[in-house]
Amino acid sequence: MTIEEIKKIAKEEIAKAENLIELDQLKIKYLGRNGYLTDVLKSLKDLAIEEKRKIGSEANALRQKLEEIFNERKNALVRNIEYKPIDISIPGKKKEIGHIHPISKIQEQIEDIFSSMGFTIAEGPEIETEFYNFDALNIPANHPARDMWDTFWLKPNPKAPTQQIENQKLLLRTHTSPVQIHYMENHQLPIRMICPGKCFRYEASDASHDFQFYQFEGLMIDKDTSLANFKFVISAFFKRFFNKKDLKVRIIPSYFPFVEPGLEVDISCPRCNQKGCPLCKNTGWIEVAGAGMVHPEVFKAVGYNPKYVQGFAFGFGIERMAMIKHNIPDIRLFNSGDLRFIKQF
Amino acid sequence: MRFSYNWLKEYIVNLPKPEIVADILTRKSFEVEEIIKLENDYALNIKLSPDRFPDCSGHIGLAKEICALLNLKFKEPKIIFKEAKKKTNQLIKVKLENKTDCLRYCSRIIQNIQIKPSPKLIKERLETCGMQSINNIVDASNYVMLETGQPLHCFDYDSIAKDKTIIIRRAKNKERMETLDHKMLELTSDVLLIADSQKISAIAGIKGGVSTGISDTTKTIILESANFDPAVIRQSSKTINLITDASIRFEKGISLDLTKYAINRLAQLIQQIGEGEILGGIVDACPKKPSKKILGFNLKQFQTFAGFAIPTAEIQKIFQRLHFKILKKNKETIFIEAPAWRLDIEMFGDLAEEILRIYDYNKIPATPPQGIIIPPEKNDNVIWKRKIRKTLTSLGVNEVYNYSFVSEKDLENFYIKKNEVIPLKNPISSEYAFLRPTLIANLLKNSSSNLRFFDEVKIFEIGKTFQSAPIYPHEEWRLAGLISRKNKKDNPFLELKGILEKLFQSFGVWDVEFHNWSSDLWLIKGRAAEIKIGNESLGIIGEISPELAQKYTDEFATVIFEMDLEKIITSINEELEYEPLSKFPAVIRDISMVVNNETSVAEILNIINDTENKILRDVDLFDIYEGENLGNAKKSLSFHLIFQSETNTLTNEEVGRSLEKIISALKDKINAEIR
Repeated sequence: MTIEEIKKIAKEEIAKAENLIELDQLKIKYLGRNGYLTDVLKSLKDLAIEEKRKIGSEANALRQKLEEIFNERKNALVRNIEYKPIDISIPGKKKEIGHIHPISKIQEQIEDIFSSMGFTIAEGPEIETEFYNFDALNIPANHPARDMWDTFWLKPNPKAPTQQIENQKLLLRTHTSPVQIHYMENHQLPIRMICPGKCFRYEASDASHDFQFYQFEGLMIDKDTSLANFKFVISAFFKRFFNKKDLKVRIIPSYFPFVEPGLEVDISCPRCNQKGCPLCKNTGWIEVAGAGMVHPEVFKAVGYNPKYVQGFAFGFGIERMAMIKHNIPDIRLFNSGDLRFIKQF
Repeated sequence: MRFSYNWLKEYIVNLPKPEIVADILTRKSFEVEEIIKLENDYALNIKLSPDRFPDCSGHIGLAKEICALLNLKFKEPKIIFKEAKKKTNQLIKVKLENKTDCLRYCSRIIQNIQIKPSPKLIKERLETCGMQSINNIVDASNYVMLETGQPLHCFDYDSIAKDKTIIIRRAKNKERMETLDHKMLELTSDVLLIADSQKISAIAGIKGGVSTGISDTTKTIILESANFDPAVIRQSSKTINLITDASIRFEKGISLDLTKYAINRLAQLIQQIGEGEILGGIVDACPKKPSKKILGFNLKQFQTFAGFAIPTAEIQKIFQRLHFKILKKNKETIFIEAPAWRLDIEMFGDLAEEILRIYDYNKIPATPPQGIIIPPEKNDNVIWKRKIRKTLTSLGVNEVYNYSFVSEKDLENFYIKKNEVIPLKNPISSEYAFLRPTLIANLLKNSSSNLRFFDEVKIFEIGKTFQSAPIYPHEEWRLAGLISRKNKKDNPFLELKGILEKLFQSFGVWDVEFHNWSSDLWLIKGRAAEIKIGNESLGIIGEISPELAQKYTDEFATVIFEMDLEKIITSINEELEYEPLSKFPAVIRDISMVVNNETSVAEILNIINDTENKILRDVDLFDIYEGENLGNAKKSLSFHLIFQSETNTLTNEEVGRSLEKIISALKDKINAEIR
């Protein structure tokens, strides 16, 4: 075929191409490695230089022209493709992801807030000696306040002599406060520490008590860490945690042997904003934490001189935070392993 | 502890409504848990903190507290009564075995008593406070306890031994005694007794005995008001496992001033209700007065402690409202004497608490801490636990939390010996008798309960396990999980293995190895592997035996893994290193082969990787087929081989040469039949 013929037929055929596949085949037919136009170019080698130049440049012009026509036709075809509609009301294909347990989620949120205020995250053993769980925290044997913590005791190992000594008896920690002691024994001032952890109480379980639960302990001490500082830190935390700038924090007296004064922290009910609801039992306030200024006897137990050191400690239940935040009615759900519960978070 | 609103009113001029009293107490002293409306009165149910028992476990003390809080006037009750000429000390003697167990012991005698029911007012008030009325004498002593906080005891004079000597002594081991409510107690030397030369008349500070109890025929009574070492009473109460209204007060300490005050008040009350003649004087064994508590309150220290200042005049006013005497003051320090009834006041912090709570904790300004900013220390354990949670959940596995306990049955099921685990002395139930040595037992229980609602369960847990050890028990962080599904044909082993491989890859660890494992009897032999990085064994993965499946998961196919979390953390390297992307295209060739059934994929991979280590980038198993048409004991495996060079575009010839080498190695070494 001559260049003129190619030009004419190709134009006609391209115009008739009904879909992209036909168009692709035409493109191969004319412009492909063995296509008509290539044939023309191949035949040039037998011609004289002048001829070569002339036909060569015509062929290249045609290639450009045809490319344009192909593209135009392609665009036209693409525009006119009729797609079968998708029923977008059909539910999306199920992709399973796993869920992080709400205790972990809340714990991470709490850690992040305190970390941003310069608190280090510490951990401690779940098995403790009587000394760390009680004596060092100013709760000696026969202290009436020991009744505040019903304790799981471990059967002493008859072959382990130290476990027979009075305050070395082993137990499951009833609170995370022993971590304060471990931490102070191994660190210098200033201390800003938080410690999440599992605790155990020997008590019957009900919707708001379980014999195993998670606590969060905080400790901030320096030469002059004050009660006013405590109020700032704890308010900043709860405001951030519940994401409410106008959340109110109330401090009322309480008693724990390892602090003086002992405090209870209440927050304005984040559910009803103090209008009254079942969560706050219509009082507008929810008890969220125990706290206080570290007792001098505790400083003495870790070898600090209480004359030069002061600061605060606080603790609260992680499940309780989750229950308030997510309206969870029963603490026993956390340890149930029930995926119908966990998959909601 | 319950208090009567009307009773409080007797001591307080212009006492406001119960709601206001409850509110101020909760905000500044201790929590009023509820206000109970009664026919003619209100009962306030108060949660006294242990340190405030000594001064507030009686209505008089609580009234003083309320007066201090609301700045009201306290009406001091007057104690006046007539005494007979006959003296108490002519009729009884008191002997203390030692002066550390019993700190003070006062007795009085009242003659010509008639035992009968109490007057209405006393009955009503006892009831308001949750106590039962018994008879006029017992009720009177209980009434005075509720009024003053000092427990008292009355017993029958005629029933004590002839030498009429009251002895306060420790019990002998195995000595027995019958209480007023006819319970037999076996005692130890931890228990302090009130006795005579022949018998026991009461457990000191806790409970009266039947032998000298008041009966309908009692004519002469001994009143006892005493003060005991709180630790002794607490120990005693624990030993005999008996807690009473008296013991809860004694174990927290009582002011020594109250011993005499309360016995006189009781004598007065018994006379007021029209009974008996009070003999002259008190037999006061070991008369003691509380020592004066004088403390210096440093104003500058207070300002540092509180973080703000309260005007000195205001501080002084608060001390006065609380009946603290101001002895002396200078610019820096106020010297005060604490009232005798405030046993809880011992040091600076106690005084600071008094000032701050009365002033109002809520007026404390929230002040940001000052000081150097130090970034918090990094805690690897916490960081890695978070990453593991994130990765596993993104791979479709759910996180669960379980109790840290297992039963004896669980131990048997897992062939774990009892001497390897830690038993509890006081388990909550037999289901939770031991600290868990493995996370798997409870995970299997989760799996079973969830398969009632789901066809498939994929869960993991991060938690501590516990092992017995010679000196101190061993605690270990572990990561464990499982996949269990109802469709038995779809064995989850490789899925779980893939999840673990991805987990490690996400930490930059590409060389996790799985080695055959047959050490655990509860896993199916040939379907279990040890998980290793280098020489470090991290844990196991495997399908649980049908026996175990039957016990926990209704025979569904369940594959578990359990690893030592700390070993994982030390093995993984946080710093993922960037590998440059090749500029040259990859070439993929597939290769299928038939091999003997016992040939493991690991063997084949080793041969391939050993043969070509220059341009082979990756090998991927994409198909396994076992079928009759292959012949017995044969399987067909297909791999993608990915070739890529970092220096040039690979030619067909290069790839072909390499592939030839690999094929001939496979033929040579494992007799593979390449298809």
